[in-house]
Amino acid sequence: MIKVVSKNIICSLIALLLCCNTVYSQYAADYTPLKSSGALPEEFLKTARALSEDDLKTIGYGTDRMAKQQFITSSNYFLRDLLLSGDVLVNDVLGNYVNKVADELLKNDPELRKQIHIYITKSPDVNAHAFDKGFIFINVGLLAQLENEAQLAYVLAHEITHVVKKHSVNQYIENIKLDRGTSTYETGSYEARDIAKYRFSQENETEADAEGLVRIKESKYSVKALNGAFDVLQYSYLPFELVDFKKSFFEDEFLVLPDTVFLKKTSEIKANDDYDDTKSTHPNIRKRRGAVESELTVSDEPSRKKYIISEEEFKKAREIARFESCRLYLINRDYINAIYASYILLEKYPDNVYLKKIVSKSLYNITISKSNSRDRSKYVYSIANNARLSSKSYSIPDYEKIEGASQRVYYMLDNLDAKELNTIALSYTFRALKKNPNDTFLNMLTDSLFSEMVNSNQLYLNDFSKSTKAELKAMDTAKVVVETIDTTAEESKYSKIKKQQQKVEIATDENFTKYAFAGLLQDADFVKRFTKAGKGLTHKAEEKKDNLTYKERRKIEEQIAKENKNKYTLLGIDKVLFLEPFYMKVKTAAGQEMINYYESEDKQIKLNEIQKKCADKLKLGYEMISTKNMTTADMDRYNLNSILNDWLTERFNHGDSSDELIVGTEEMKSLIEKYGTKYLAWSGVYNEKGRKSHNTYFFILFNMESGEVMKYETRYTKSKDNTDLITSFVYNSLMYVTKKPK
Amino acid sequence: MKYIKVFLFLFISSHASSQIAGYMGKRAVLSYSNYFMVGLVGPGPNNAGYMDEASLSLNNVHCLNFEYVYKQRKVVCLSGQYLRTGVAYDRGGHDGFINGASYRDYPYPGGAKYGGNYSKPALLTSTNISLGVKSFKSGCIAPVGKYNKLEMILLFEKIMYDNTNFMKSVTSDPVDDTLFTLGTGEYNYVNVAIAYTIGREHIINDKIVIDYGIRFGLTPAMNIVSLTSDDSYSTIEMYYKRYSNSRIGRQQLFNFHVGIGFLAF
Repeated sequence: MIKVVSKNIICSLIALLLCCNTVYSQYAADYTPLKSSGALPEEFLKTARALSEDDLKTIGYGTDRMAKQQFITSSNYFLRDLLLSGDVLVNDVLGNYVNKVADELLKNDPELRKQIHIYITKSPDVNAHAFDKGFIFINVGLLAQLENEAQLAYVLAHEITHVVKKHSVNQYIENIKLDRGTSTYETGSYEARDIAKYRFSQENETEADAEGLVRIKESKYSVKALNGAFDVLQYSYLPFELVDFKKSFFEDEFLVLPDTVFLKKTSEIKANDDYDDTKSTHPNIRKRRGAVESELTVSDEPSRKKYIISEEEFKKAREIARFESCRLYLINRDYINAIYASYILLEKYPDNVYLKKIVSKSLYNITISKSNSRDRSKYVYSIANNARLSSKSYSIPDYEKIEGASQRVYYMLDNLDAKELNTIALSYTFRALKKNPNDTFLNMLTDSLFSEMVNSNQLYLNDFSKSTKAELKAMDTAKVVVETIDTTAEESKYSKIKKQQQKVEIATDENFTKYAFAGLLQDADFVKRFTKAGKGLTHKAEEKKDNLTYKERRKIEEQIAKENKNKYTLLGIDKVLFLEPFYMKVKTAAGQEMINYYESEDKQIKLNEIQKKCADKLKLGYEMISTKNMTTADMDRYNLNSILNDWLTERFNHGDSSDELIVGTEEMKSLIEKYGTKYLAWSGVYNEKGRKSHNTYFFILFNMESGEVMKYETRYTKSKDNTDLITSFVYNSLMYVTKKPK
Repeated sequence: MKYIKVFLFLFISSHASSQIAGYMGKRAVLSYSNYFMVGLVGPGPNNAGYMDEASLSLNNVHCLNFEYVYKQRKVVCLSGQYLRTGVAYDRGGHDGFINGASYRDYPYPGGAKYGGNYSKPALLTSTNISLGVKSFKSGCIAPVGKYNKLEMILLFEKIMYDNTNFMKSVTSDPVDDTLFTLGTGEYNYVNVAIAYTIGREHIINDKIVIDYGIRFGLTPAMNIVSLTSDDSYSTIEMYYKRYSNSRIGRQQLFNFHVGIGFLAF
């Protein structure tokens, strides 16, 4: 009997090991970001108006009819917006797994299961949310942090309760009543009623926690396994794993980082679970944990399981979510977390090129930001004709506010200057390139880092030593100096100075970059690229004067402005890819803004038509990536829209800086080839109607290859958004795009 | 006219740029506008009432406009205008006082009064040429949206009256009055005015231009109180000059307009 049991255990262990190995081997070399596949669900094809029509039939004629009507139109508008934002994954491996867990959880309630639609959203935040209509969205960031399948089931059960209990609409109605002072929930002062809104929401959350637990108890999932569910929330601000960070990650035989940039002791993790939640939509973690803690015991716990679908599938899904998180951190400009998350995964998959690229891209962008803040900020001028994107310069968050092992990465990268970072980034990227010589992106990134090194940081070949530090140390430097003193009767002053400097350089850690390429300088390709970037120069050009007077700075700014004006006035572009335009109509009455959802949707379609008409008139090649009138077979269009939205979101995060690299650059290259244009246009109108009408029109044209903003135009008018007015705006924008400079 | 053409050519060629969108690439508008104002004092073209006898009438200025967008928000406007209205014959001998001034029995220069058909007024026409600039509001692209327009108007006024039916007194008895010819029956005057318009233009179906607004005008030759003053005029020409200037001036002073046109090229 014991033998049989042992045999079974061994077989299971082998199977588990094999499974784990399968997951690991799958990502050993590379990882492909998640994409939607299959047929598009029907809900994705409907307009907000169509989504609302059925719902409006069910609201009856009670006293809250108007509020319910408003809620339905607004929530369906935002639901549709989310579904087509490109952030939602359809028929992906994560979604499929989560849906299996939902099937298991609701297997005794098939009617409810039919109403529930679960999707994964591309967000690194540890969160999930539900719409009353039955749509539940689980963030990638949450999946990356969960410990087991039972916890995932509990998250789903919690969100399902929100759907079943119609918490969103109830909250909406109650908020309106509290605002108007007609609520019986709280009748006190305005402030008391305002706080009551949060209290009402917290009660809903507590109910969702409790009812979710009931649902878990009705299933076969382990209740004990839920113990850690609130820990996941409490520590959600930390990376998905805590792994000691070693500076050797960036080092090689020749590039040795000084100890001064390595934080010896990291801050302890002290997440407070009893924070003030008066103005929070959720109760604090201590309250939530306390409310369900006593219920976390069931008599049949031994027969319950942490994993019902499969432990392998859970771990695979979590691993994918972690890979995906690295990319999402990067898109959200959270470079340090991107590096640290990649570092954790690289411990498991040391040869994974996807992770290496994440690290390289992050290092590159931090380098660029540091170079910009040092040199260029003074000279950065408007990137387009008449307006500039909001400047969002990146700076590394204060390491003192960071807890845990990742604090070392924050500290290290914050304490390195642009030249040092450039050296590290180049060394890391070039080594990655050597292992993946056919990777076009790494090739491009390496060249960009060389260019940055020469053009921005003014580091040339002769700034780096071909000999290692050890080799130079082996020379008796003291003797060199003595010899210099004894025999330099004919030696020049400058030669002496250089020899003196050589001695000092060896004695300090600060010039670690000088020896960083001692190994790489033996590589012919490295030297060739470096020389090419320096346009054959091996020595510094004349030093840039940092301390310019106000007049000199103004002169430079004016010169840049003049160059930019000439450069961006007429673009002479033949073809542009258009993204679905933005249109929002808002009505202001009694100090309150109300979005006119239906009209906004109709006007968006109209703006689409105007763009097409104007482009045709100007003979401008026009391609529209629209999510309107899609069919279930239009998954390619859906994915394309998703890629473009990701790219655009990230590009906006970079603000005025077009030097920072965008994650989706690789995908954009194939898109550029497919559509035969590297220009992406996005426009929109915001119309506010109060006593008078106000319009804000914008038009942005990007170069998808470089991320450069070619044109950014905004127009503000105090008038109605008549078709002729908008047409004149669109035509004017496109005319500048199309016309060739003389 | 030749000078206007030269000026227009120089103006447009020095200001116009190829980087102007216009509306869907069209920068020229040909249109008809009607400037109208209720005739509060004085008759219309077919209405002979005078002062308190006058019934309300509508005075119209018919305009043919050519407009050309030469900057993103600027439009140069050339307009030919035509106004036709009536000038009631002064009945004279009117009992009573108006504004403290008595009306003479023989109100026309040289102690004359009109003895013809009062129901058919004298005819005043004004053929104008105007040159102006429209400035569209910030954010707008000409020719769509709200605008302000400043224009210079050259007015060629013409008065035609029945000069053969004037009478002058011979004795103190009006029965003895004799018929005589007063003046030439037709006089031409040249006048200038400046006008300021606030308006809005819309374009329908990418072709039809709709224009509406309010205009305020001033002419240096205008004398609003001229008709109520007790001044005498040495000649009938002077009399009508002052009269027509005042009428046209009042017409330009404040009026509404609606217009329709099309995008030409």
